[in-house]
Amino acid sequence: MQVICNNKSLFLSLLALVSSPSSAREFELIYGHHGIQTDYDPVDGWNLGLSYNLNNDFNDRTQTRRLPVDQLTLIAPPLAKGILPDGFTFLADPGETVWVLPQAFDSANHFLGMRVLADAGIFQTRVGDNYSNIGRGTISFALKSATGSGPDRGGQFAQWESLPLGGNEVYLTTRDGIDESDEIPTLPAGAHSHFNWAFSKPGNYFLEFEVAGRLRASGEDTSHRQTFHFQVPHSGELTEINASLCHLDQDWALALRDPENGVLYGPRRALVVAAASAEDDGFSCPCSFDALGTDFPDIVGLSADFAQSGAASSLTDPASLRLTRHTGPGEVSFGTHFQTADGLTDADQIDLTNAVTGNLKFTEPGIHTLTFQPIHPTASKVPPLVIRCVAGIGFQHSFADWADSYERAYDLPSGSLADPSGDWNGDGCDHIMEFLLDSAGADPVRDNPDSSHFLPRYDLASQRFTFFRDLTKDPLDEASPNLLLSDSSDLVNWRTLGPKNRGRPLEYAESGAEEGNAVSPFIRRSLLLSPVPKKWFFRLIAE
Amino acid sequence: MRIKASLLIIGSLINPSIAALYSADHGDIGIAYEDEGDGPEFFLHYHLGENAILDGSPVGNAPDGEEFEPGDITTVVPASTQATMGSTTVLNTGTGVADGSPIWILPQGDNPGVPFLGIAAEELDASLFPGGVTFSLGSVTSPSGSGHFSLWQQSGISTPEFFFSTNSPGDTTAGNELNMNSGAHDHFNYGFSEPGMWEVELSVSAMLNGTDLLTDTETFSFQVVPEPSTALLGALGALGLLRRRR
Repeated sequence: MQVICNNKSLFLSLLALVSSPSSAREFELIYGHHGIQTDYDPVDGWNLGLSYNLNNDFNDRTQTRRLPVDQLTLIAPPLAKGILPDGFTFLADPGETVWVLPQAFDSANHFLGMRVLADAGIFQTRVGDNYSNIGRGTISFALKSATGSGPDRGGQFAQWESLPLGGNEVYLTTRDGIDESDEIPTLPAGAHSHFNWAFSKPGNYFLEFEVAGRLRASGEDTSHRQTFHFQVPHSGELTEINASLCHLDQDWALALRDPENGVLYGPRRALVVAAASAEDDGFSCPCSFDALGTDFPDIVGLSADFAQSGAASSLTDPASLRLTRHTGPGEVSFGTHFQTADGLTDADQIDLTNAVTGNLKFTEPGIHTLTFQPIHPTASKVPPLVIRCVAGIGFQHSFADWADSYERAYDLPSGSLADPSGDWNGDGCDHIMEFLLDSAGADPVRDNPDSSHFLPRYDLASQRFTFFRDLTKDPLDEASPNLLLSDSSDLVNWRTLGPKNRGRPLEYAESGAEEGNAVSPFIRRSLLLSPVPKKWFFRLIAE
Repeated sequence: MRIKASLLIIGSLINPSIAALYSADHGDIGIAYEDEGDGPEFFLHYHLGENAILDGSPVGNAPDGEEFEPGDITTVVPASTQATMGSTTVLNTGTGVADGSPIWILPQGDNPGVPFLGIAAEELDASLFPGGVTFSLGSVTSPSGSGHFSLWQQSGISTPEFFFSTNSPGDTTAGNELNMNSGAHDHFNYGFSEPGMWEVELSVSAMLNGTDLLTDTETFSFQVVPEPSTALLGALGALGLLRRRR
């Protein structure tokens, strides 16, 4: 039996027994060197998939590992995001936000190549629309369709090659429609080359590609199609609360709508930014609560069934929400429904018989976590429902902002949490780790009794070590504090699994564990353990 | 100019080197840490893929291709790679080539009939070299003595990023140094400001287990072919082929 070691150790491993299964695909990759690989064998025919090399040496065919495309999602990482300059109108207009998986290697991004494994002499060589038997032979790679919530909201896809002296050789682009011109006309047998892949809106992109060639032996044309799934994360940033209380079977969730973008964020998948108040020295944001379901195209961290199942329709009696805790500096209030200044009682609740609207107000800047309990005859032992907000600090706030906020929230002397390597509550997590796991519910001062689903743990059902990434704090780059997986066979010598160590088999690499059909920067991840090692140790580290 | 160019080619023909000509398809300048009999050490080398054209024929030895000592290979920069530099300050500065002047570029993309030359640290184990590896540009000998060599990338929506520049080291990312993660492999544009035989000295350094410095230095030869000399290139290739099989 394997042993899983992390900062919460056995306590968290036991809690995994009550976890709900994830709907994630087996391989949800957020960085790494891999290639869209075309195989053609005269007997077995075509295979179009994604591959990487176990030893990272792409010259070495013997170490190629192919991944099943129907279990694969490529997620654009934070550093893929940029503002489009002039010269890329085949993708979007200058000034628009785009997400690029670049042609050149970047450890914080995908390095997505094109690879053709077919013996020389199988295919004819194409030049323009003419074919001949010279050379090793070539195939073409064409875009046939682009569907999903990304294209539905106007998102475009393009693939191109950067030219040495500027300019671009554009091969695939949806912006002018998809037709026969959307192809790489010639990829030689044995090719391994790189291109830029880019998207212009968040959401899902299902890209159907076709590889084709003319056989040298028979002169026949042959082709094969395959659909690949790409995901561009939604921002996870909200400026108002539009909360929906959902109930399905025995489960409850408080989800946040983003109607403008057609996104519903499940628990902890969004952060609400309250603006400075025009009325006083505090901060506020428009706020509404209801128990109606939501039918948006993109749902983050929640199943579609759950999202649509509003408590008002799934239950016969009306439900309420009671604020049970505010973790953050100062006070919070929501009209006459709740306010913390005089302490929290049973009266601090919102009757959701009808939708309730107003302004949520905070008296002090900082990080504010609001914890609610659903009030209903069927609601017993319900895990806390959480809305996370920031006031007066940025959506992407610093470690210093975090430390200052928790010091004021718990009336600690200034500087108590300032040392990243310190551990105020002695729980084995140092402050920088608590900072990185803040969105998962890690508390640097008290214990973390209520947030087990998001803190690191081993999930026996899926045989995955799961954890929650906050990509606003750790964008997977080399400049910020990184949340990294580490493994060991003896608890003495540890190896790091992360962007800087790419030659590792994906059996022990980071993948997804997310619910829903879309993602945000607050994302549930896992360490794939397939096969499960007999004796091995894993932990999270922050460095 | 044409006479000068021809003289340079003739010069290379009588060069005592017996280097084989690498003229097309994929290869890497690679770094390995391996034991050749004297204990494990750094080995800076060429790793040419099975389809790479060496002295007119594929290297073969599928699926791995073969490794070569840098001194045994001359990489051909074909006449087809000649381009005319435009007016882009970062490119003009980095390459040392003025607006309207010719430049020969081994491109970061895969083009038929052109060496597709990467730089690779994929043979290094990240657990042994956690800090990655640094490639440093040493001395560069150009045909005229005043030419400029450069190495850069164009990618995504970014501006060009120069790693090596004999013209302006201060405008490179890390002062004529290229840092790569262990296990990484990438492609670049190699710029040459004039035709003829070039010698480019590269050093690699890395910290074994984060503590012990390892280094290696080799000279890489490039034959930049001017437009009129295609026939001579064929002659060079044939000569190389004969030498290799002898």
